[in-house]
Amino acid sequence: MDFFELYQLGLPLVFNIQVLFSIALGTFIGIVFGSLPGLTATMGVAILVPLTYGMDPIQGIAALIGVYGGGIYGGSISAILVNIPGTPSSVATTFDGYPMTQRGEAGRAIGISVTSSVLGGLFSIIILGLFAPIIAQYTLRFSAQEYVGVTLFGLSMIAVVSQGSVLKGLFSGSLGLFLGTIGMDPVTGFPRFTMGQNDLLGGIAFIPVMIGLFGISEILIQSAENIKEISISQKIGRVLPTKKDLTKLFPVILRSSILGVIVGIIPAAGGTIANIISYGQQKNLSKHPEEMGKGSIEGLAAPEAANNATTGGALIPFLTLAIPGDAVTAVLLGGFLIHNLQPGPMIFQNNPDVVSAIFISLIVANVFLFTFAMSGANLFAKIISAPKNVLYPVLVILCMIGSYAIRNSAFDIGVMIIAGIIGYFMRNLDVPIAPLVLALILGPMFESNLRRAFILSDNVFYSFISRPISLFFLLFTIILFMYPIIKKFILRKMNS
Amino acid sequence: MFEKFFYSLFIILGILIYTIAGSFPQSSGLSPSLYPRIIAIIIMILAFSLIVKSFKSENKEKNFTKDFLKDDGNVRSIIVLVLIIIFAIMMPIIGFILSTFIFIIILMRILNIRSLGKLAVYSISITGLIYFIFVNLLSVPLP
Repeated sequence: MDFFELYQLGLPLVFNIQVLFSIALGTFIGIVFGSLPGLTATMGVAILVPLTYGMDPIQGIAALIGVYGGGIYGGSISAILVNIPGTPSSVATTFDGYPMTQRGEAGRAIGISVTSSVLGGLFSIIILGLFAPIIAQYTLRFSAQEYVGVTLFGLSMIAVVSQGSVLKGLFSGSLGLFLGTIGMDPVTGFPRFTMGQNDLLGGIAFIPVMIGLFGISEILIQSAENIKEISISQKIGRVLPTKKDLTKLFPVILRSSILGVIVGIIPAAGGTIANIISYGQQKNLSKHPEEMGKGSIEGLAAPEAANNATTGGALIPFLTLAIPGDAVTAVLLGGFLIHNLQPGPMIFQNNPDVVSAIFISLIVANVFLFTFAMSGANLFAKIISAPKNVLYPVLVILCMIGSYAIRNSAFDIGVMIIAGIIGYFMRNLDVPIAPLVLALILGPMFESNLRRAFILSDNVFYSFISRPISLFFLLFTIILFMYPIIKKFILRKMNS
Repeated sequence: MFEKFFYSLFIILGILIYTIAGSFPQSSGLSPSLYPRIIAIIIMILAFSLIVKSFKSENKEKNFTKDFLKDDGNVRSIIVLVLIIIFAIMMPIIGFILSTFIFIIILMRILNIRSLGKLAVYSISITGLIYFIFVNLLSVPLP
């Protein structure tokens, strides 16, 4: 099946009222789910899968794909507007998105994030179409060593990404690493640091921590302000990014999309990792790194493009090898099976029309995403300028629902509250909170793969260097880590 | 002052982690105690550096503890926190809807909404909306 057939075959399948409607509905639900802190894209897809049972396959899959794209984007809305990432894939979006809202530029921020996300998503679909089979071969070669490289890379980004003192950022990250060790040991199953609590055996769920750390702490801090009906008036108006903005952002978006696709392709690495790595990259490469974290549009566009670019990327190993590229595609696998579709090499031959329909649905979903989010942008900005004393109680409740809903666990609500307290103190002391969440997510991945690597091979250290992909990641990490230091060094030499 | 106190807590945490990790069984390859111990050491080093650093910028430091409770705002934060905790505890006892309803009223009152009318309208509508959206539309389990 050549490139053009890929996009042609599915056209009649997708372009009928029912399917288009499903995609639209799915995208809308996805956006809503993503934007509510605690409800994630993965959850949205999971909840919707059984609902699509009655639909015919193309329609059902199309709807799920809509939820996927919408969900990954949705997290950015709350990230920008209230500094609470709606999904883990929008953590880095808070860094520059929220300051823009604080300046009254919420509309512009949403406009930029939508545009970057949609462009990222569309880009990833193009790559998906062009390279799917070829790339898939490489992901099969990923073993423990490569994952160590990837996670190490992600973790090192923490140092780069820390707003303010790097020392404090590392401190925050190390706390997250520790929290990640709580629970059953990945190799031996021995419970670590659980203090006899059964709820801790599975480890600390990171979503309640994220909600508490970002959300509850924000609410606590804001309560300290003497809130009458103060709100920041938002510049409602032009939401579509200006040509000037677009030209400035184009290289950023391109770079971030490439990164996002690559991360998406890596099984189990998805929007969350892409989001943060992209931000770190942008900070490294930017000509004005001091602007990042204060509302720079590059700082907003980079993570946004990357996290949506993972959608197409994650579909590559999923479609070609039935290996989920990230959490959402893992759930999507279930969706496919319900509709009697088996992803994998055979699907390209047996159901080329379905594959094509998927591609086209993804494109259509992105288009819907653009329309919905853009038209909603002014509405969202208005909602945020609602008086805080109404907004915050609602947020607290949403946070509670979100934390509970993950595992139907009241324990998680407790986790959220404790995380909120810790977050409150951290913020008062200017310790950045994002590194903690990131380390909490990446740390366990890093450790379990590191230990697997040790078990799998005899000559461990050699195994890291002899495998090309692993070596690549390790070198890349070292270079990136050293880059700011070397830059300073060279600048100093040039000045003297 | 508070800063140093805060970080020294973490040094203690680091020591705790290190000791507890010692009780983990060894295994082939890397043992379960190695990684936590390394983390413990990192935490202690970083906490210590941060304490040292806070000595250097002694002058600029906000006098945290003394003025903390004097500031009205901070007291408010603590009240909100306590309220949230009570809310969480109450929920399994009196049910989601009722506790949400009461919570909204109290929280809004704290945040300065005075008029009874507004309080009533908001709390009823918000509780109702949330219930409707989450339970009926989205089938999301409520606490």
